[in-house]
Amino acid sequence: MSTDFWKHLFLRLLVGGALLTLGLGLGAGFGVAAEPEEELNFLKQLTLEELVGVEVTSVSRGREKLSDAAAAIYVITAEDIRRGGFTSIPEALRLVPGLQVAHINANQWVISSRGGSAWFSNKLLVLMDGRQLYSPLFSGVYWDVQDTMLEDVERIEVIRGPGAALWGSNAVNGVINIVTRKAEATQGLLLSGGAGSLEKGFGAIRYGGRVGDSGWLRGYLKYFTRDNFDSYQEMPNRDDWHMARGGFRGDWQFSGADRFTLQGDVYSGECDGNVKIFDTDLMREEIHKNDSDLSGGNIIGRWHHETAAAGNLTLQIYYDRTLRDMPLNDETRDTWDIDLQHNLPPLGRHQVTWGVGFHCSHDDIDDCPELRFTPDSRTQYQTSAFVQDRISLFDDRLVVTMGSKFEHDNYSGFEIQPSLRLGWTPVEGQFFWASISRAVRTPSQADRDMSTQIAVFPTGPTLNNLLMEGRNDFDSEELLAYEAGWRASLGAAVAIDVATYYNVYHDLRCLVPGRVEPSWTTFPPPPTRKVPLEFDNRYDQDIYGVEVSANYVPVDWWRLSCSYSWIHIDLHSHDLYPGVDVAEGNSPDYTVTLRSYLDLPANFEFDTLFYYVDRLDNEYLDVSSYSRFDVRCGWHPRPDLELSFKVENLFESKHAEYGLIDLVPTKVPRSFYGKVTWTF
Amino acid sequence: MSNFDVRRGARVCLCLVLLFVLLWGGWGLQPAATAAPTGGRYDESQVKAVFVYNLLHFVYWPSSFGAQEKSCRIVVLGSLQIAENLKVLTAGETFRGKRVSVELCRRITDVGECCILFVGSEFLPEMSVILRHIGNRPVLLVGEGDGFLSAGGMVNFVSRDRRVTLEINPEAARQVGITFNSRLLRLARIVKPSH
Repeated sequence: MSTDFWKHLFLRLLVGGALLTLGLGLGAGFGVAAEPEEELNFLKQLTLEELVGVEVTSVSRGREKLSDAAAAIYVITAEDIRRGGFTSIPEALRLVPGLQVAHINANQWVISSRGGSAWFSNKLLVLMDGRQLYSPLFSGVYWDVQDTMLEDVERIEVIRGPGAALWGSNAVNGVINIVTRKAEATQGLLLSGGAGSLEKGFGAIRYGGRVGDSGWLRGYLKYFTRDNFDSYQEMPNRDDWHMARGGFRGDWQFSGADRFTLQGDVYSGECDGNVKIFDTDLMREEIHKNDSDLSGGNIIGRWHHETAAAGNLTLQIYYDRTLRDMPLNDETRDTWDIDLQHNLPPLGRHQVTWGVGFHCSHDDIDDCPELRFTPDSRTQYQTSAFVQDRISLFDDRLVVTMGSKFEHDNYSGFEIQPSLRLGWTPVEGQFFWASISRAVRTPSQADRDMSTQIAVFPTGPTLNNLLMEGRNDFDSEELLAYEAGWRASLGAAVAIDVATYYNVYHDLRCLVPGRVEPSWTTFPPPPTRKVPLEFDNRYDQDIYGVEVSANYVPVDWWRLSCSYSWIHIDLHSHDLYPGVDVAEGNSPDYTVTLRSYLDLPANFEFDTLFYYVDRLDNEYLDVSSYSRFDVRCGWHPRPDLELSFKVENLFESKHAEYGLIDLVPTKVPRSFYGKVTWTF
Repeated sequence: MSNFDVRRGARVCLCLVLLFVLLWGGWGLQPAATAAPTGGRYDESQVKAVFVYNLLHFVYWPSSFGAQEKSCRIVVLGSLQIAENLKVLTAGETFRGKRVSVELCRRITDVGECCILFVGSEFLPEMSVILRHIGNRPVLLVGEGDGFLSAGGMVNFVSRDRRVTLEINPEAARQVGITFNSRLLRLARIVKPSH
């Protein structure tokens, strides 16, 4: 049966379901809402016994609880980070079903959601405390510099699937939102440090104190140095790295309704690595050092105002500077962003949220002949607005959320990214949801301005210079996503979450042969001509899959979690060259994780993590499936002291997680470390 | 302008607009009715606020407590909706001959003398700071959320099966001299301290 058939069936079922709901709603009629004061006075007359029997609607109408969101959401808690023994944010993301996390080398990761994986997976939006970490140069995230004091991370919310109706373009396949704790929640001194085989040494200090009556402030410093991984197919394995980082966060709660936050970080470090590029002097592919000096900083100010009459109003302004000094290209980027979001007070059954934003990003690229950007400096302005209405029907049993983002960018034009979501709670503890949304990935500078040398080969006396080039008319890539899911609590001990999706992509990036230009240079001889391969939006793709996760708490001292994800990538237009990010087989068909947190007597903890990742297999990548087994032991001899020891890859000496792209990969070896954390 | 499929885009937009109009026009903005609000469901924060108001009459503070105060203060930490509802409920009310006042606080340090402190769920992680701030004064600590009682709270609201139920830790209250009416205790799940 063709995929078109299933696509249409799914669409019709979804539309049919929506219409049926509408019909039922109109037919049944709704209870008439009374004035709040009248309701309160009625409730006041009830006896305690009657009051216990009163049925209520769901919690705060102001902000949606994550468990009520009609989307595939997964939350990594601070406890998950601690008990997983993670030392970096990317490693913690391995817990999320449907997210592909793979080391290319020690300091570079491939992180993507629901397919589309590449060194810079270009359809995943990442935010830390409201600051966008997505870089418009290669349209991806520089994971090597995304870090903070992990003890201060409150949670990491991961939405698989589009979040563009709220967050805008590039939130195509997912949104990762890293949220740090408020300053008042991190008071006192924290010292932590440790060392091991790969983790050659790490340490952090954080102190939180009060500022006057109404403010709290914390500051931190951290440093780590990490060793090389093992070499891949006899290729060099210089990929050690180290980084120092410091930051602060201040929170002021002014009387009544106002809250102000000021926070910032600075970092500096060095990542080593190797790239395989075509050397124009030697006329062959050569492995070059790609040692990078990375530094940067950011500062965020946020004002939050909350009153019953006006709702919640949040104004956020930030500035971010990123400096990447690399042999192939140096990038200096300044980003300014201002965002206003307003949750209106509930109006009948409606909860309206709207916002406007302005984002400006300016860069200077210092390039080399092998990788060139024309022009080498750009300023992008983006203005955006969004509006969302959350409508509660049938006493909150059915919640309809609809909204859209409207964006204009001086680089890529105007985009509308709407979504419609339905959440249905037939009985307590059962939640079904479905959604349709459109999202786009806007062109990056690499798509339009880049020119990179692939090879030089002779035909007769002429040399052909094969280039990969961006094109000025490269346009946005588009996704129409159909999603559905189910979340349920089966008794007190079991919780289950199932999400399915059918993603239809249009206008994806591919390479097409460009116009051959003779006599590009004729002097000095030999004559050379340019043979370009150009980026174009001529690729269509369907991706569908299932993600399941479950938690089981058999006894209060033992928690088990497992997850399973399956993905299928269907390509159209087989006659074209796809970019690596759209190729079949660049995401594992399925992934399994198992986790166990065991609390033992005498304040010991024994935690195990197991991952199984299926093979990657296509014309670019050839990576075998691998299993990884991690064990962590923790001990709290006193409430303020934690000693822990972790072994990663217990049963395997090494494995590769990603294949050779431009970057030379390395293999993840078995490793261990010990850590001490002291708070007082 | 991006070259997205205009027809598909228009179709999606049309559906959204249609749905929007139906939902807004059809149901959303119905005028307030005069019918008695019986048999319907109430906002969770309203029911919790009424419970807090009732606690004044089913909880016994030490007789010496608050003798110098002019009013009986109920302080709500963080939760705007509970505070607004309580203000409506207690307007013009007196307790032991004193005016009942309700105040919303956003900082733990602003919590002064009071007889009831409602701890909004966002302040749950800071219970240790709250307890240190209160000391051994007989303040009834009321909260909402898992772990409130084990963190030192006295009365907790738990939402179960679309109803608000009560959990009480009488031992925590007894330590500061607060006791509960037996009718209230019968309705609540009694939680004994684990240590």
